[in-house]
Order: sequence, then C-alpha cells, then structure tokens
Amino acid sequence: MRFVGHLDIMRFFQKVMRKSNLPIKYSEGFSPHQIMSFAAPLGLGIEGLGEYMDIELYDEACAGLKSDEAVKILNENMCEGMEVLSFRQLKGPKKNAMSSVGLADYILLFNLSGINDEDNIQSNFSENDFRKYPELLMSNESLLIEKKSKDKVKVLDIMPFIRHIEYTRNTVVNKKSFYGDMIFMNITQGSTDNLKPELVLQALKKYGSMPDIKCSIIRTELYDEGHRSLEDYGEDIT
Amino acid sequence: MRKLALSDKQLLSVEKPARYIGGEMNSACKELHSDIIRFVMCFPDVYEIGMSHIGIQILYDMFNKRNDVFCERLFSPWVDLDRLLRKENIPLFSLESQQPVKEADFLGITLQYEMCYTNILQILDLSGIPIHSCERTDDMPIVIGGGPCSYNPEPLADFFDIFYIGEGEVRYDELFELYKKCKKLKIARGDFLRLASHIEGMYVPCLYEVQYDNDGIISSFKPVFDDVPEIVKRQIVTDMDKVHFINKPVVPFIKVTQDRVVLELMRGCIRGCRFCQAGFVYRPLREHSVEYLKNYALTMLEITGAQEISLSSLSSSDYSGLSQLLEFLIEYTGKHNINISLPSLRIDSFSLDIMKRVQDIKKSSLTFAPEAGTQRLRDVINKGITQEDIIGGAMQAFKGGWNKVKLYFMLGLPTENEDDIKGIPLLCEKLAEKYYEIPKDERNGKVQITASSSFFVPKPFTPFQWSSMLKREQYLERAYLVKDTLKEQLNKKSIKYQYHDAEVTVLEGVFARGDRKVCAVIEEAYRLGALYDSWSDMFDNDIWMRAFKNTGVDYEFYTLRERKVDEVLPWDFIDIGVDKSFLKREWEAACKDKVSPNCRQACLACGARKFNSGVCCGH
Repeated sequence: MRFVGHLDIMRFFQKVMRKSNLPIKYSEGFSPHQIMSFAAPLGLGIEGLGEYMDIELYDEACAGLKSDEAVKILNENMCEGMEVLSFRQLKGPKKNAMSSVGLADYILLFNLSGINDEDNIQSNFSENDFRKYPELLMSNESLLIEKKSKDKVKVLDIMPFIRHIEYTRNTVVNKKSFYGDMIFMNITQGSTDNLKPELVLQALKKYGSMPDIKCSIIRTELYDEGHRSLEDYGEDIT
Repeated sequence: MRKLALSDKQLLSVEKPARYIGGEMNSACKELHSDIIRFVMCFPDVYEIGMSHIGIQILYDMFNKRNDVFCERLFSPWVDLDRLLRKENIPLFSLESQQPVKEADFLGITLQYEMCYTNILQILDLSGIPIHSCERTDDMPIVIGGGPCSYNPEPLADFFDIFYIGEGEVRYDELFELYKKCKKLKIARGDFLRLASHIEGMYVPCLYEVQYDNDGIISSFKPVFDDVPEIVKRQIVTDMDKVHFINKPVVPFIKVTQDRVVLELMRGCIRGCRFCQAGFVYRPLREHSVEYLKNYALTMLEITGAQEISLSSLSSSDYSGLSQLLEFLIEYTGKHNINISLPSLRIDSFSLDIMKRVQDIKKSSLTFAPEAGTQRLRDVINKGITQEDIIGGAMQAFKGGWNKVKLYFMLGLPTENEDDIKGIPLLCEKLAEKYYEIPKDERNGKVQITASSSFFVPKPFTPFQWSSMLKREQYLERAYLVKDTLKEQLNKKSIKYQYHDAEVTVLEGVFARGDRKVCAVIEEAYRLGALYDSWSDMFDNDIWMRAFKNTGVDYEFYTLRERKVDEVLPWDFIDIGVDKSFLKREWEAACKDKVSPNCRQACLACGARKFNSGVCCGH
C-alpha cells in the first residue's frame, strides 16, 4: 500500500464508503463528491500505522450505528494492507483533522527482512552504532539540509522541527510488532511547519555519521500541536 | 504479504510505482504449482490504459474461475522502469505473482491498436523470450494474440505462436484442455501448436507459407500441412445472455483512464458505415437483454464502489431497450450519487432529454460525428446522417441551453474532392450562424465549436480495404485547406480546429493492411529505439523511415496502391463471417455515391446470417 499515492488512497476510500453503504454526506451539484478529508498526506513509500480521516455522515441515517460495527463493515470492504482501527465521533467545536495536525511520530526501521522476523537483522552494525547516530545528530546546534523543490534548492535548518529523536528496539505499535534496531522520532507535521522524515534521514547521514544503510520509514501516530493524539479528539459510539 | 519483484528503492525511483505492485481489490491470488496453467494477460501499454479495457477484465475473470488456471496481468513498463530492468538485468514480471513472465505457460497479448506493436517486442525482449516464434524453446510461454488488430495479424506473424480470431469467451477452454493434455504427455511445442491449429479460430502463423509475385503481391497463401485448415473462422458468442458475467472486477488503486463501470450493451452494429472495421468484423449485432444489463450494472457498482457508470457499444442509440435501461439506471444512480456517462448517442430529442437529467449542461459538450463535410461524401461512406439531422439536433441542443459542440471528421476518404474538404469549415460555420439566430436572451453566451479531423486509414474487412491512401504531404495540404477556409469565415472566432498526425496515419496504414514483410520493419524500428509510438511525445518518425530503408521495404507499396478486387489480400485466410463479395458490392456502391440500408431496414445478405444470432434472427 505504501506505493499508492495520497490521491489514490482517497479514491480508494471513496469506493470503500460506497461499498460499505455508510450514509456519508455528499456535496451538491451534478458531480457530487463525498465529504471526506485526510489529516496529513503520507509520502510515497512510507507506511502508516496511525492515519486519520474525517467523514461527515447523515445523522438520521446512521442513528444506532456503533463504532465496532462500523469498523467491521469498513474492514469487510478493505483490501490487504489496509485496515480501519477505530471509528469515532467528533464532538464539540468543529475543527477538521487536517487543520489540527501539528506533530507526528515516525520510526526508521533497519530490519527489512519482514516485520515479524526476528532473525534477519542487518548484522554489520551494532546496537551501539544505532544508539550513537541520533545522539550525534542532536549534539549539533543547527541541522542545515538542502531541500529540493521543483527547480529550486533551499537550505533549511531542520533542528527546530525535531522535537525528539532516540534509539529504540523491539516495539509494538497498534498491535503490530517491530523487531530489531530502530530510530524513533517526533517531528512537526501539518500545514505550517511540515518536516519530511526523509530530511531527518538525510541529516542523520550528514550530521550523525550514519552510513547509507537501508531502512524503511513508518509513521506511527499523529498529534495536535500540544501533543494530544488525534484519536483522543473523538469518542467511541456505543 | 506478497514479495515484490522490485525493491523499495527501485520502486521509488520510478514514476507511479503502484503500476507494478499488483494486489488490488479482487485481483487473483493463487499458488503456482506444476499442475496450474499460468496465463499472463498483457495489454501492451501503461497500466492506466490497460486497466481501462473491459476485454481484459472479462477474460481475466473467466480464466480465474477455473481452478487449473492462474491468470495474471502485465502492462508495458514505462521507459524509466524499462531502463532499470535492462541495467539491473531483472526479468519482466507479472503483477500478481511477481514472478518472471518467461516461466509462464501462456503470454496473451491484446492487440487494440496498431501503434502498440513495438511495445509487444519490448514485452518479449524484457521477459527474455526470443521475439521470433521460431526461436522459442519448449520451456517458454506460448505467445498468443487477440483483439481487433488480429483481423490482420500478418505484420506480427513472426512474433506470435497463435492468434485467436474472434471473441475470447468461446474457445479458450478447449485450448487449455489441449494444453494440459500435451503437457502431461510431454508433447513438443511445435506439435502442440499444430494440434492447436485444429481448434476453430486458432491461427498458427508458422504453419502457413506465403509466396509473392515479382510485384510483391501475394501469389499463394497455404498451410504447410494437410491437417492445418486453410481458412480460420472467427469465433463469436451467439447467446449474449449466457455469456460469462464478470463478478470479480479488479479495482485499481491508481486513477486509470476509464475509472468507471463499463456496461457493454451489445456487440456489433447495424449501420455498416463503410470506413468502420468494427461495423463489419463484429457482425451481427447482438444485444444483451435489459434484465441482464440491470443485474450486471447493480452487481458491478456494488462490488467496485465505482462513482461512474458508462454505456458502451458502437452506437448506443440503436440498443432497443435503451429508454427502459436508462430509466432504471437514472433512478438508481440518482439515489446513490453515481454519475452516468453516455458516449456514442445520436443527438435527438430523446438523448437530449436524458443528458439534461444526468449532466451539467453548462459544462458538458455535445458530440456529432458527421465524418465528412458534404452529403455526397457522407453517402459514399454510408454514414446514415444528413445535414438536416446535424443542424436540427444542434438547434434543439442550443435551445436547450448547450453552447459547446464537438464535431468529428475524417480527411482523405475515398473520392474526397475540394468541395468535400471545404464542406468541413462550411458545416461548422452553418452551425455557428444557426446558433446566433436564436434570440440573445434564449441562448447561453457564445457558441464554442471544436472540429477535429483524423486522416482516414483503410482497414481490412471493410468495403474500403482495396482503397489507396495519400502521401503525408497530401494529408497535410487537406488539413491546411480546412484551416485556411475556416480563417476566412465570419465566425472564425467561435470555431477551433485540430487535426491528427499525418506521419502516424501513414504508419497505421502500413500496419493495418501490411503483410509478413512488415514484421522486419517493426523489429528494426524497435532495435533503433521506437517504443510507445501511440504517445505523441514519444513517437519518432525518423526511426521508422530509417527502419523502412534498412529493411528495404517500400511503405508506399502498402499505402499508395489501390488493390485490385481479385488480388489475394494478406487477411483473406480469415473468415469473419461477412463475405468478400458483399464488401465488393459495397465498394462499388460507394464509388457510385450510393447508400445502403442498415440491418434493421433490410438484409443485404452480407453473410453474417450463418451465425444464426442477433439482428439476423430479428432480435
């Protein structure tokens, strides 16, 4: 799924909504579209374990619909590699997911042989090596990184956007286990100070003396600016 | 989780990696083992185009219903992946199993348009399969072709082991059974192909020998063995309501060209427009019943979650249950926020009324296909539409609020003269004048007329199969004449004009009616770097001109020559069901500017009656 772009993921979910027959609201006009928005687009090649989207439903038509039932129906219409984990109601002042996002957790996973395989860890590097890279990185005063956009190259100091970064090992996120060495980070995300995890990876190589080791990038959770998980914005319908 | 053939790094280095990963909703997933027939189904263009094709979906679904067949998909790798595969020596792989194509039992390639021919060689080359049929060994897949271009397969004869002539639903089971038997008995490739040629509709090119006279015209075309049939018969579905019904359509992740449910109303066409190959090679017209289509539409919309449904046929207005079907669909789609698209509808009060209900008039445009600029030439091509039909239809539309009109024409039709060419801008001018006759407060701003012309390419199995084409410069002169005449007209600002590429037209002409000598040209052009020739930014005419020169093949032999009616044509060995004598009568009628009635008005005894189906039986 991580090779499917953001717009295509949206189209995929529109189809899932139709198939699930949830009473989702549509815009007016000759080509009505579903009222649906994603918290933060996920970069191509990055896996997401805690993604959020908002949808609007017709009140009357979904009376009596419970969270666990909705999750079940949606997952019956899903495909391999995509799963709905929760379905919650937003209460209080209306603020959509996209404008709420401020921070995100990512992990850089160095064990690429398969998620549940404990044996096959890239063995040329010791735990101490991995521990060293983020420490070295954060000992710098600034982290100047070249950011390439369409035709311009901009130099950017990414230090202020990294809230936390550290080495970790063997962890469980959203019921999924990850084994081996990894680097965990909490960085700014959203419409104002969006930091791409690829740039942190670049900085780890430039300032943290990390060699060019293969790794996969996984986004594990999204928060608002005050580090409150988006999950906590909603309430289960029971 | 499936293991992908490419690494993350490789995938992220190419454009749209989701083209190559498979795993879409409803895609097949079977275990490969020695008892399963692995059939790789290929559309030789990019994923987005190939996945829009309903034929592939029908056969994919049908094959995968069999427990002993695993049908997978394959599309052309874009040039970025092409480079990567060559550089890193990675064999081309199918989407589902991500395993090398070379290890499959069959490689089926659909031939939808002529300009994809070099892409076929790319597929074979990247798979590590010799491009010549005769060089393949027993462990390699059987390469089988089908689709509209297989009605003249000769320019590809060297590259394919079998061509399947006709509709795929009919004979594949028989072919699979034969294959299984031969595999069990370890029968050699050559012997399997010979046995396959006994199945109706299977053309095995290596079992036929062609001889030419001094002028390069075919003097004889014969099978090399007595048991191989001289004539290959086109296979058709005779009962449209019993035909295989897709119920597991693959739903792509990425946006494909036709991201909608396609509802095939019928096959064939009653019209008999003389330029149109589909109008002859898909005879007779065979309709699905309204009940079948309702059921199909609902099932497909529910399974795919699609946002749009489109009606598909050669001329949807001729579908006898159209109003009944549309009433049903409009009600259902309205309730479920689904769009309907209605291509190939004749513009009349019925269709305008329907369109008003399902489209935004301000945004949508109306399409007319007069094909020719004068009534005389429209009669020559037997396009059953008059100037009054066009103007009357457009006026109704203008009064209904439309102000955008698209008009399709062809240039270079047989017998075309200066009046016919100038007739194109004149007809456009006439429509603009008529628009401005409507009082200002009753019309919707300015009128926008877009005329486009393609250059006519004569196709096999049409009454124009004997006709000559023009030189590239002559095509352009005709397009310039249209353009210049438009510029001199009063309403020039309301009319836009576009025309197709003349160089591509000449090549299409060579491939459409070429013989086996053309194989060498395609191979040479591929070696010189031709690929994705149907993409205008990729097409390089110089390569093709060099390929003709290097192989000593004169392309004007195929384009500029009017064939004699008794000449042996490269595709004469195929029996499409319509008789050559009928095509000849129609060719003669065309030369006398005479129209012929359509199949519902009168039977002209074209020969399709022998299928005993559809409109020939009064349905």
